[in-house]
This record gives sequence, structure tokens and C-alpha cells, in this order.
Amino acid sequence: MSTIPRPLRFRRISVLGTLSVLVSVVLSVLTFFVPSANAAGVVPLLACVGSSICSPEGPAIMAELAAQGGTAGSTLSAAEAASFQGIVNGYGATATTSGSAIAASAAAGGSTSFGPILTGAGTALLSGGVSAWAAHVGSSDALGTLPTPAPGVTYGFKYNDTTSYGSAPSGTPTSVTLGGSGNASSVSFSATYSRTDQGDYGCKVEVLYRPSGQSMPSTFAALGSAETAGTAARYTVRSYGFGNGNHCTSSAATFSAAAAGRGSINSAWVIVGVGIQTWNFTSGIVAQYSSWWAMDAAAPSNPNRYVQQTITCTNSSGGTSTVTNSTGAIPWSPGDMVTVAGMMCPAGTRLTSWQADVKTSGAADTTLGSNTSVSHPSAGCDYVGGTLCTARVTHRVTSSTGTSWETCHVAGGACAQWWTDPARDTNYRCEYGAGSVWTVVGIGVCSIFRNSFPADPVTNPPTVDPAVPPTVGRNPGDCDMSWSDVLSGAIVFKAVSCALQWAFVPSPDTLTAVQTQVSTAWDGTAPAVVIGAVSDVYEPFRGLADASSSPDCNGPEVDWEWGYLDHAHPFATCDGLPKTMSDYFRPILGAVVLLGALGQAARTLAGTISLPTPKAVA
Amino acid sequence: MVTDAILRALANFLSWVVGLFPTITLPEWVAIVTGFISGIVTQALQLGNWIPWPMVGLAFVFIWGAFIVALAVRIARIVASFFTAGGGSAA
Repeated sequence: MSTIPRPLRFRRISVLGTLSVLVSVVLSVLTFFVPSANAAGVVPLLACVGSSICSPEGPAIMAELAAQGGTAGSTLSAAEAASFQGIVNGYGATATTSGSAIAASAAAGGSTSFGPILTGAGTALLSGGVSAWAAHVGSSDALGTLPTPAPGVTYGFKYNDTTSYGSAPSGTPTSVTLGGSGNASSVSFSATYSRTDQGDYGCKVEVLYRPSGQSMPSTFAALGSAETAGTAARYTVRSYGFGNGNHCTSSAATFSAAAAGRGSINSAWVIVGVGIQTWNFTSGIVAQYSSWWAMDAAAPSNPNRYVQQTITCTNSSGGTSTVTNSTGAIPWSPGDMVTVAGMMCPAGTRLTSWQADVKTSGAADTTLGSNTSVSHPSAGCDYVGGTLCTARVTHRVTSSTGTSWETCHVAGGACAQWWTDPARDTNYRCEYGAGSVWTVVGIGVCSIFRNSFPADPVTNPPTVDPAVPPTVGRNPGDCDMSWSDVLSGAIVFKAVSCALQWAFVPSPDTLTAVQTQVSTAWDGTAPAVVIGAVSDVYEPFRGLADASSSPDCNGPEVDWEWGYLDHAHPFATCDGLPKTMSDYFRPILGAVVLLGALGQAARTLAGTISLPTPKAVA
Repeated sequence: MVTDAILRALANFLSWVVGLFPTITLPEWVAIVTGFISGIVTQALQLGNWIPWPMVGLAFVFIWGAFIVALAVRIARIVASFFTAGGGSAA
């Protein structure tokens, strides 16, 4: 009798596990090449289960969401291109809200770096639906009168302002109030929005509405196209510039169908949702998106409703990855607010698109959304040798050999008052790039560094108010002296301690300067480029092994290229049968794979230590 | 100040050494390949509700771990075989 495990049993299990892995890989590749899979009739089997496209309005929803995508390549004049560091974005063509708000913003001096973004010489990336400019280039602090809204024209607002005023925003919106019961010709909402963290922020309000008494349409024109009286119902998104430029400190805005030029169609509108979005620029790069939504005032609360955000991040090699964040089921009551956490791209990648969808499984308003294309003031530079481009401030240095420009991002205090310097445009400039490749861009892009260069304590000692007595240090290392120190003899210890600190403790400025110097020299070199490329390949695999991440229940999005069935989610497991199936399938497959691996490992080890095979035992 | 001076000297030296490397630009096909791999992995990642990728990763760890252990044991055996430890024929 033998108690030795039979290797043959291990082999069967390991073969089963290997087959499971192979099936998984095949499925992944299949979804990647979904058009061919679709042609083979493989995917449609799962297409409509638990997916938003199953609703009667699904194709229309998909078409509209697709239509909201950004439009790149709009031709700009040289003056327009030069002014693109100060742009407020909104569309809806109403002077009542956007014009005054943005003009006030401009008058107050908001320096903005959001909205339509310069993507190259003379071209810009526009937000979805923007087809014309309410342009006031050259009037630095005023928009002037907005043009009369014209049918079929969706305006992007902009102004040519490069000055920043006020304090950084703080907090989150306190409330959004929807007018009436949701069927109203106008709706007012207010929010006290500000943030304490530094950086440039953009804000806008989006209003999602459709005519009252109408269900979702089966067909309608794309966003921004003409609306005429008596046409079929529309479900659309309008956005409004909001707040005082990048600081977003304004507290109220009003939307009305009549003001938006839609009152002639139907005086009653269902306000489906009001959202406030902000986005944060770090070093000139759109780094974060946040949004707050008050949804569906007209609809009853639905326990299956949730918000899903998806951002796309692009690495130095052009590879993209998406990050999804869902709130989970939120049984909102009408008018309730939900806060969706801000999302960040992984280090070294840049945010290239953001989308928030409000999803309600099993209801008519299945998938609604706000879709915004975002970019950054790249000035043609995304990466240099694998290093993400950023903005920096340089100052003019004049010597006997000529004029040169040196970075402000080192110790020395030469740029302490750079933002308020009357001769700022002469003495300083903003550059965008990385490594040894830098391009001069508008000074407003660097407004985020307005308080970044404190005075050097040695060359520019801070002024001391003689009326304020010096404080006595609480730690042995503090260098403040008092008579009690002299009398107690602690002055000797303090003197030695302070001298040692002065001599041997490196200053943070030095550490920063050293790091900058070495990293600047490293950027663009052959090993840096190769390591960056290898890292780009390795990076996506880290997500596969991350057990803490919860995958999006919608699964991969596939493009059917059938027109009305774009952006489908055939492997969605949000609810219904697919959810039940995946709840069972996933752990079973995991157990099988793990047992197979253990069997294979046992076989390997058994063979190594020469355990007898079943044949030998017999 | 002393440490600052040392750090600056080190930084200058490191910058000089790093500056000896040539600067290169990757060919376009690298970006294409990287994007292709990233695309497949991203699609696979989004199948996470069906496929337990952490378990798959763990399975690879087990299999390769066993292989490495087995390799180490075999190498140890081979090395140990060179030492007779006083054994041999008593004749």
C-alpha cells in the first residue's frame, strides 16, 4: 500500500488550470480584437445582458455620448493661440449666466488654464459640442458682450487674461438646489465651492435636461446642432463656465431653458441633473478631476443608481490605460448630492480624457453622462525622453557674456516676488518641457508657482517686526536664545547644537537643487529612455496582480463599429444573470487555477527529490 | 554648509557621469508595441469580474517558485556530490 500522492492526479489538475489560464488569455485577446469576434458571432450572446445598451434608448444614448467627444484641429489665429493660457470654457450660448460670470471672473482676474487647450500651432482641442468662439481676444480683462446665440452654434467662451487674483479655493459645494419639482422652465442652483490646496482649478456647471413629457428620443441630432421648435424631444448636456476663473469662488448660477434659447420649444423642461466639475492643474498638467452631482430631480429614488468615472491616462510611449471609479449603488432621493472622488493618473502619465456616467440599471434613464475631453497646455510637448513635461519659471540673468535664463526652482530667493514684479514679463518667463527641451509658453501657465519661491533666509532675510518678541525654542536644537539659557548654561549646548546643524544638516533647497540637477542630466540619456520604455511595458501588468483593486463591473468596452452599438460592454456583470454567473465563476476558476498551480509545483518538487512514481511503486 | 558642499560636489560628479551617456530617441515602433501590450493588458484587466487575475498571478508564483526551488536543490546536489566527506572504498 502506498500513501504517496499520485503525480498523475496532479497532472490532471495542472492541465485543467493551464487550460483555464489559456481560455482567459484567449478571451482577453478576443475582446481586444472585438470586430473580428463580432463578425464571428461570438460576442452578441452576452451583449445585452446587464448592459446599458439594452434599454430602448441605448443606441441614442451611445450616439450622443460619442458625439460629445472633443474636436481637435480647430484653426486658431496666432493671437488666439497665444491667449490660450487664459480660457474659460462653457457652452450653451447664454449671456445671462456665462457672460456675466465669466466677465466678472475676468474682471476679478481669474487666471485659467482649462477649457479648450492648445494642441499645436494654431490648433486646439475643444470640449464636446463647441463649434464657435465667443471670442474676445485682446481685451485682457473683459469679455465684452457675447454674441446673440445662433441656432446650431455652441459657443466656447474665452478671454485673454494672464493675471491671477484672490486666494486659492477651498471646500466642496454645500448644496445644489433644483428648481420646482424637476419640471420647470428654469432651475437655480447654488454651491459654495472653494478649495484650500494650491494649484489651478477649473470649474464648470453642467445641466442635463430634456423637454417635459417626452421620453428619451430614438433619434436626434448630435450635440451642438440646430434645435428648432416642434422637433422631437432632446436629451442633452449644456455646460456653463462657473466661478471666478480658476479659483471657483463664485457661489451661484442660474440656468433656464428660456435663457438658453430653448424656451420656444417647450416651456417645461425636466432637469435631469446638475453637476459641478472641477479640475486641477499641477505643474501645468491636468492632474485631477472631481465632480459633484445632484441628479434626477424628476425621477424617484432608485437603489440601483450609481456614478462611474473613467479617466484615460497616456504614457510616454503613447500607450493608454483607463482607470475607473464607481460609487457603488446609491439610492439617491431627488435632489440629493453625491460626491465622486477625484481621480489621479499614475505617476509619469498624463490625463487625456475623463468621463462620468450616471447609470441606473433597470430604469429608463439607464446611462446618462457627461463627457469631457481634457488635455494640458503641452505646447507640443508631452514627454521628453520618457519624462513627463511640466511647467517651470525662469528668470533673466544678465552678465558680461550676455543674457541667459536660469530656473527659479532652486534655492536663492531670486524669484521670491516674481509674480507681482511689475516687470514680470521682462524678467521672467514660463517654460514648458522636460530635460533639456523647454519651450516658452504664456506666463499664465506658471501662475501655479506664484507663491512657490520664498525669499532665501540668507541673501534675503525676512523682515522682523520689533513689536513681536522672539519666541523661546521648545526643543534642544532650537537656536532661540534667552537670558534663562545664559543663566542655566544651556547656551553652550544650544550654541554647539546650532553650529552643528548649520554645518552638517543640508537645507531642503540644496536637496531639491541636487535632485533637480541630477534628474535633469539623467533625462533623455540612453539608459533613462530605455528604462522608461521598459517601465511603460511593465506598468500595465502591475494592475493584474493587484488584489486590492476592484474591477469595474462593466468589463471592457468594445467598439462594435455598427454605429448605434458603439461602446458596448458585453462582459458586464453589474446585475442580473451575468452578476450571478460571475459571482460563482470567478472563485471557482480561481480555485481551479490555484489547485492546478499547486499540482504543477508538487510535481516539480516531487521529481526533484525523486519520489517514486506510481509505476515504480507498483 | 559642509554637507551642502559635499552634496553639490556629488551632484556635479553624477551629472558629469550621466552626461557621458548619449541621448537617444526611441523608434516609433517601440511606442506601437508598448501601446499594443498595454491595450491587451488593459482589456484583460477589465475582465477581472470573470477572471481572478490575482489568483492567476499567484499560480505563476507557485509554479515558478517550485521550479526555482527544484533548480536550487539540484544544484546543491551536484555541488554536494563533489565532496565525498571521507567516504569511498575501504579496500
